[in-house]
Amino acid sequence: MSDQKMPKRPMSPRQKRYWLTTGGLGLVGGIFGYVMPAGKSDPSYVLLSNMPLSASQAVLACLIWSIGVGAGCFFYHRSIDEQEENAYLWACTASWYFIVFTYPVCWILARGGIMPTLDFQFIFVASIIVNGVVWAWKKFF
Amino acid sequence: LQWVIAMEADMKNRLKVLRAERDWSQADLAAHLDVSRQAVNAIETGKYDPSLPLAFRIARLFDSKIEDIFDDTSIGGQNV
Repeated sequence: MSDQKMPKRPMSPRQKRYWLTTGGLGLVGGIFGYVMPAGKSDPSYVLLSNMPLSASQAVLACLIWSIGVGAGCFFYHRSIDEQEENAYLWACTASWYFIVFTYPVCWILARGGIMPTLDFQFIFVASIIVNGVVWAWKKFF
Repeated sequence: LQWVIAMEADMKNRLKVLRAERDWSQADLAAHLDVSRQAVNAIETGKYDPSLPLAFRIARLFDSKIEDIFDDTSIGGQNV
């Protein structure tokens, strides 16, 4: 144990894995965002709408998403520390309950003619936002 | 929201004092423990209670016992 202030140190293997994984996941997201709207005039609309894609684009996008994100998550969970894992568990619990309560309520209300039929994409994106907000809250605040 | 926050234990600890005695920053301590700086901050402020393995690592780093660093009396802990 040293009484001296520690000098700037290189990243630990865990930190290196963490930033490599984070960068890799960002890269997967970038490639996904590039492949999906390729050749279309309005990329943002293609990403967030239900407009048809070519079969090759659909397969490629699904492969990038499932394999890329799957591998990224595998390494992410091997590189985060226990406090971030705890934040992640809270975030996943919150987003799970968000889906469990929101989707049936909207579905029933739509069947009752009280609200328009909800696009599941909205629930998916909203659950990701809930997940991100709770994760940031538990990790940083 | 308060109910959700209260579900987590608020165990007091001497981590900040021990760190200050060595003139370490949170980042310094985080590097010793191989956790993030946010983890050290969360433990120091009582927002996150470390696992038993991490508590042992902290205790060994400061040549102390776990119970000399972490105090569970604020959450009802007592000697048996």
